[in-house]
Amino acid sequence: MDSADTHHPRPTEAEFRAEALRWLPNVSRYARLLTRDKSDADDLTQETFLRAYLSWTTFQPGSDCRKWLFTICRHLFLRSQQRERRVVSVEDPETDLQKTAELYWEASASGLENLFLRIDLGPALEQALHGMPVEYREVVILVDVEDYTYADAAAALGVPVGTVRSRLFRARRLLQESLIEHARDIGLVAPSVAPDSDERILT
Amino acid sequence: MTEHTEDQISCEQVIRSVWDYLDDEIDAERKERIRRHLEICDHCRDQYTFEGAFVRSVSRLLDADDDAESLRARIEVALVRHGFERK
Repeated sequence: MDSADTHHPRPTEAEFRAEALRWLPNVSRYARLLTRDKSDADDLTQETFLRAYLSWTTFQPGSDCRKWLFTICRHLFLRSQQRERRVVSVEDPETDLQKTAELYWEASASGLENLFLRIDLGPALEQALHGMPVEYREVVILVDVEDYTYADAAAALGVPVGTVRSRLFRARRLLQESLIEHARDIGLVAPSVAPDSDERILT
Repeated sequence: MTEHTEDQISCEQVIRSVWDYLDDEIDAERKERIRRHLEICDHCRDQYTFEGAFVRSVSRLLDADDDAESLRARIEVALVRHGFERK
């Protein structure tokens, strides 16, 4: 069937609410992680929905509207940055593998096995995410929050699956480092260095 | 570390696949071999538990709903200017 016969240039209110506006929280969150600024994210989110509304004929009925909105959002963001695509530093899977294991051992030795259940990590997580390059931030939000497969994320970002995998691994490692550091900063664990004997309290 | 027979995989291989396993991005046969390894290897099981808790935390923390109502209202006002009809 020719979609032009059944698909109007502008969606009806009900259609746009049902297909597009239902994803507002997701698009807003994605925009915030891209821009790292709530005001900029709100502007980007609004522009995304406006563009979607005005470009409704390019939406394929029955396809995944959330992914379509994310694509629009990302393109608008990249354009607003007027940036050339940055080449992420050479990623070494072996280093990431080793670091991942080391982080676990470090956390384990510090009694942090239940770290992620014991404290409110929300602010620290947001801060850590915002400190990462956008290439890492967006793969975390797509895979860890929006449940994209690696293949879907690769298609959305225009990169090979292997790149998604390596960026995701690197991003998670960086997040873990930040969260473990945060746990130390708030005194969740004792210093890793044993105190001098004259400072010990003997009972 | 756990001793392994020829049809089993090593701890290093299991740890190497930790994220692929947790993200369900590996084939069924390899997934089953890892599952069997985790049943008998405390070390790897502990690390998988740790990494799994981490991924779930990231997902849960970032998935928290914002108060999007004011933004929704703002967007609808902008849409109306382009022909969107609100109830």
